[in-house]
Amino acid sequence: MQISKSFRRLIFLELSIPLALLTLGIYHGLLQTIYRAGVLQQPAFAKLDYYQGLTLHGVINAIVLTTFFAVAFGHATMAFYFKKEPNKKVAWFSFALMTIGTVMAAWAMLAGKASVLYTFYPPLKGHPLFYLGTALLIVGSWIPLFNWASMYVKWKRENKTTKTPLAVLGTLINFIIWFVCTLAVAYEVLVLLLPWAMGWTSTVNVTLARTLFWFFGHALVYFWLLPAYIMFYTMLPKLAGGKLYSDLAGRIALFLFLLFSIPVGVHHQYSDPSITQGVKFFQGMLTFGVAIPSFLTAFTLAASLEYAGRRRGSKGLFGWMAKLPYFDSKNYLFSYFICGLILFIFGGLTGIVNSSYQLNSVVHNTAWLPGHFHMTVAGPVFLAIIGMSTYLYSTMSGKRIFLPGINVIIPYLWMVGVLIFSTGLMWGGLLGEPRRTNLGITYLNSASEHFRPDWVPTTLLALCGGIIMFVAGMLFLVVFFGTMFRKKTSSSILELPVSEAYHDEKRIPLFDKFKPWLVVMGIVLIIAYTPAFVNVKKNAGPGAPAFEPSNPVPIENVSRK
Amino acid sequence: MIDKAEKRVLVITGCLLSLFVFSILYAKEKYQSDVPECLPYDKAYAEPKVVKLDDETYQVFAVAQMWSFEPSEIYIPVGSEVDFFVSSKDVVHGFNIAEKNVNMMAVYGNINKTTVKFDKPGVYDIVCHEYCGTGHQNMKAQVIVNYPNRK
Amino acid sequence: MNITENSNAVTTTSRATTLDNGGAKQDRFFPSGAIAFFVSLVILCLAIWFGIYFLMLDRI
Repeated sequence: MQISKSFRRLIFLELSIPLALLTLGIYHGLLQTIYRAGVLQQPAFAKLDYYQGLTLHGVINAIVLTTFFAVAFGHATMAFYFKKEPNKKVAWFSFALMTIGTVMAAWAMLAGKASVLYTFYPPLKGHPLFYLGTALLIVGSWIPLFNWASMYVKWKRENKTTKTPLAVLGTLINFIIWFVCTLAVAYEVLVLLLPWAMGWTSTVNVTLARTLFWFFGHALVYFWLLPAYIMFYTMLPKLAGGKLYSDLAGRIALFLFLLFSIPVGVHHQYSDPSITQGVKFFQGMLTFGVAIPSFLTAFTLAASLEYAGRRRGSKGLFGWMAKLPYFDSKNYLFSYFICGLILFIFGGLTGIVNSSYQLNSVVHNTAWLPGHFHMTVAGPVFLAIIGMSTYLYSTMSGKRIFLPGINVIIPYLWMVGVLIFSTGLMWGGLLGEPRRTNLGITYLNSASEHFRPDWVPTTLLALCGGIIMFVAGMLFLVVFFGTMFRKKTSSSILELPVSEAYHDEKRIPLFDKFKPWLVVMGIVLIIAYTPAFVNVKKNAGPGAPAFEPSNPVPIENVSRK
Repeated sequence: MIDKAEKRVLVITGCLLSLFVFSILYAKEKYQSDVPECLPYDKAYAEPKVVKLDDETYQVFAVAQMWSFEPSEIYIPVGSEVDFFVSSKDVVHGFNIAEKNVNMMAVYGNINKTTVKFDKPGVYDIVCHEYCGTGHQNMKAQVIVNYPNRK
Repeated sequence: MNITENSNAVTTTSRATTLDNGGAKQDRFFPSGAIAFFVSLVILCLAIWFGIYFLMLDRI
């Protein structure tokens, strides 16, 4: 498909701005492993302090990069399938809001005024621009959904009996989930936190803020994951040389995500006060519900890859695994996808452990948690983002890939790095190693009374894995920005791989419309979350004053002197 | 409608998840293994102290603050059952005794509770595992479980 | 373009489906390898989950 200069420029900016920021995000990822192994035994290095860097790492990698990419990939998907570009003004306005918001938040973090981590739990307080910037980034990302929805409605009117393309369905479902869940965090940020951060209100209900955050926080990970799932369902089978085993399975999975992504947030609050065990248990059960579409996806993708392998002549029960195009530099997207999927096996299974009620007590807030989520968000999500960014940039600019041989190796290097890194973290976590902690100063400092020798091998493993990941990440940035500096050698097109379905089941209206699912989604949300908010209102006591990370004395007391 | 193999996969998944639910409920019933208990806020719980109810039953009212726990050294005779009541004087802190499944968030204006039986003597670290500011990595307390009359 | 239209295609069983896939005849394929992979995945899941479960029980 031919695309306009304006659209091309928009997508390029939405892909490359976060990738440029990723330089800092990945740098501080490495630094964290260095501090935690006790190689650095100090609060700061090169003008960035540990917790400031940790905030930058989380916000850049897990909020900025993922949100910008989802929007850009959404624009590309909708344009490609409907052969029509999204509304120019709307798309640029959304980009402007997102970018201005990012700049505000980045300034606050770099100035050291928002070392509150990407979860920004009160009553730890950051600079008001941090909260405002984050809100703008999120609100800006809402806007494309409304344009895409109207594109879809128009298309549906002219194609009443045609199945909605799976990629389109996935994009719309993903952004509906996003819009609904971010309403809670937007409320938390704009109504609870921003006035309090500006000093207009004196206290904040901490548990209410946390509950609103986690209403958003679990669905957030599906917002990250679903673009990768869209790629796995609609592109991977073709890239492997086969077909998507069942198109209907993909639709069922997407609608199950719509129902169960949000009403499960309390499983991040199993160890919180003021929410009853009953509510925690109920949302834990719903979380098992959201595991179902991922199991379905694992099988459907395996079947699709097996079909591809057998087409290439494989024999036996597992022979198909060997007959896939792992190292074809002209088919590098396959490599990025398959490495992500291998990591996701472990990421997904450890996620089930985390959500399993009492089992959470073994792992919550230990190093096990980042061990788990680097095999999910830093696994299939990250690899899909960087692989697809390179692909979209290269095809839309008409430029050949810089260092194609390196490009195809990067996902394997990254995957090995993450496996080593996460093994170190999970082992350490089971030994009680905390997350979000600058271990080098105390726990990994042999001169400290806190010294824990049993965390030496675990943090060393994480350091080794972190170094490998850093190298892979830097190589990727070289490939991506190197491609940017090449000369254009072919025409600029928007072209996405599209897989045929092996079982291209007849259109089933129920799995091709939104209303009944949205109604059920709303009902489940009300049933799951009303008791949680009632609990919080009833059991929580006084609200909390604001605290700076460096000072145990609350801010209002200081100013009264 | 949906492929036969996909249907089988859904059934297997359902059985797997049901097995987990059953195991969770079994541990809950047989061992009273549970997530922290919910208590409405009462400022009486937010005063740090150790209370001995009898020779084998204790209550610890722990208050987390930037950057220590009060009380910071808790002596408990081996074989005792201890109720931990946890809250915070300022920001959110963690309260983690890794070897005993004690994993709670200490939150301002909220009371968290869990019960533990200390069957084995030893020194148990209480580690803060939620970022709480610049002194977070220094924040640790201890439960010293010893034989009665031997401090 | 690549949007498959099958408003008139009649599907009976999953194996006998005739599709609008360029006129090619449907090859019979049962994903036995994928089922084997899935069973292995379930076994791995059980191993990890019960590993943590019994660790938790041990710490009570």
